[in-house]
Amino acid sequence: MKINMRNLVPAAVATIAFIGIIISVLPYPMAAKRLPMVASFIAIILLGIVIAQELIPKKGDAAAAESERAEMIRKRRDIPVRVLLKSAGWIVGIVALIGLFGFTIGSALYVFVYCKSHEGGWMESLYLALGVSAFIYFVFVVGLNFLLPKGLLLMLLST
Amino acid sequence: MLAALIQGVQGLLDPTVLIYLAAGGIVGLIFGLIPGLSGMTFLALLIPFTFGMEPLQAMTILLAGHAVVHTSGGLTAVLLNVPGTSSNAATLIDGFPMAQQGMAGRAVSNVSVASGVGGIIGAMVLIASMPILRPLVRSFGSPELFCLCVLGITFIAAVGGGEMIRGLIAGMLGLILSLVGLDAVTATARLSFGSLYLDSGIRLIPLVLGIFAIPQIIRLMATGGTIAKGGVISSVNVGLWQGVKDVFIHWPLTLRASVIGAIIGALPGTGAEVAAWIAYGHAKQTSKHPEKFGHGSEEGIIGPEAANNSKEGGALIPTLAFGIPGSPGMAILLGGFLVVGLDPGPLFIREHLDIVYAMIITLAVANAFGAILCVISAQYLAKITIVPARILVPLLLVVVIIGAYFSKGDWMDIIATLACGVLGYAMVRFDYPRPPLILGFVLGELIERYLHLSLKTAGPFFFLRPISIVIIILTILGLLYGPMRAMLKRRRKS
Repeated sequence: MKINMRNLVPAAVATIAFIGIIISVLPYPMAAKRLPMVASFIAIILLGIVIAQELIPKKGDAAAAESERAEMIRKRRDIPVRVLLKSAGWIVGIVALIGLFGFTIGSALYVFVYCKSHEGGWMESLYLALGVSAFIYFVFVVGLNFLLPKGLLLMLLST
Repeated sequence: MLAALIQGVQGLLDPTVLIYLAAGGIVGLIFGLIPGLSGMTFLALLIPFTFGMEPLQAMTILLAGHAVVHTSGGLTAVLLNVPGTSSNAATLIDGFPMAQQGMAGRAVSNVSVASGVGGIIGAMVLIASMPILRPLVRSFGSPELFCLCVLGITFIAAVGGGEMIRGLIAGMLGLILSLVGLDAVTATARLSFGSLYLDSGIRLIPLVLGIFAIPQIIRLMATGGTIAKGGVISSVNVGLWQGVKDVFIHWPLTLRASVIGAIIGALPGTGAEVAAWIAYGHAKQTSKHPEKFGHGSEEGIIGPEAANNSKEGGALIPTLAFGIPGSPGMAILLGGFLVVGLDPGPLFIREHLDIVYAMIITLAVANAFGAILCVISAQYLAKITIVPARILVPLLLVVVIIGAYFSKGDWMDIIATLACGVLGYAMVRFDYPRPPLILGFVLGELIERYLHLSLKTAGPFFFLRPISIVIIILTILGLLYGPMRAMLKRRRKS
């Protein structure tokens, strides 16, 4: 029998997390712990069913073949880990840039770098970056009168 | 009631509100065009920017956008053979063949006008239900409302897409996440692990942005290129007027499909996809030319498009009357309403009937506006799908980060968005549906409040009241629906 770790591991991790929640809420007063405990218990029972479905052999060849086919489709749809990590890097990158340079400049820098490094032309990247910067400035700073943070680097330079 | 209706209309006639209505409509149409950016992602991105607006303005922009997102989704189905939102999948079957026959304009008009008319009929069904709803909500106390909240989660998990067990697990997780922070009754800091940020609870905006927007952005980053690969954008002006006439020639179908959509929408948990497919089946069954279906039948486009827009009117019925969202999109919309201080539910429908009517009128006007705009500018709107990912991705990411920060001006909200993004991506990867999580989160606070009140006022057997028993039976039926359907399917196969 082939066990699908892709179903089993997340279910097991989630079960441990829900058990952790039950242990964490135990010392609380009854009114505060009632609902988190009930919800966690229900979730653990349901996760138990998911785990059992994975561990109990599927009846009949057709059911097993169908489950294997579904797994193959899922695998084809998956994003490779390398690409996923790269994407995560880009997402963390925007937070870092905004933290350093503030929203107006940080966003523009990010847009420029992203567009240029994904086969965008110099002018296209530049116009897009300027457009984003202008949009943020006019909509948030001028229009909505919102105080956007300057960013760590600019704050250090100004002091 | 008439006075409230007039007051609602007056509120909407404010030029600022009208501008927000138009803005919501235009942005909604643009988002509907981009396959992968579902209506839920659109709402997730829009909610942060409503912070600080007047409740009526915020309601208008959110509802107008949500109302038209399926309209333009049909355009890409017709022109590019890619449904803009999942509810437009039924439109593909006849829409794309019609466009390939050189009648793209006719198909576009079919989609736009049927959607607009469907949306208006949906709003009319909602208005017609008001005289019944007001006395009905009076008979609901805390025990009944508690049972209704549980029913809402069950229905969304059971029929809202994905496997039911996984949907329920996601719903429970959402419910627990909503309980993080200070407990309103005992003032206990729950599950905050000493974090000051978590003491005030997890906020809806970072959660929704992380769960819906971040995974979509990751997917766009990974796939790259442009969304549309070809299509028939060039023939979009051919047969536009004929398409408009089609909807009125087939008016009985338009009316029936719209009513079907509104009724299905009113059942908590049924998605727009269900309404569209049922309406497609109905259109084929009742057509004089069923052989044309699948080869470019105008009825095959009108039926599903009228239903998926009218569904929103129906979905607003449980949302407004009981605070129980009628669809996954409504769950996020309800969250958005709560953010700006609108609290739909029995009390709301009794005390703010003018706003309720303003919502209904917004729904109707936005649908009409969306239909007209789509017919006029289909050629230009369709070009949005040719925008490459290298432009779309950084723009969306900037909107997400600003949106997360904008509502409270707290850096921790950005970190929370990224953390929720990890959870959202894991849910996508491991096939756990995301809408039940949001619904559990939105309903969590209500469930706890009604449970506390029910226990205080009616004791531990509060659920033994007649209406509660009916709701519990419905909940059990909802839970049995998934396994029964699977069993019947297996039997039919064997």
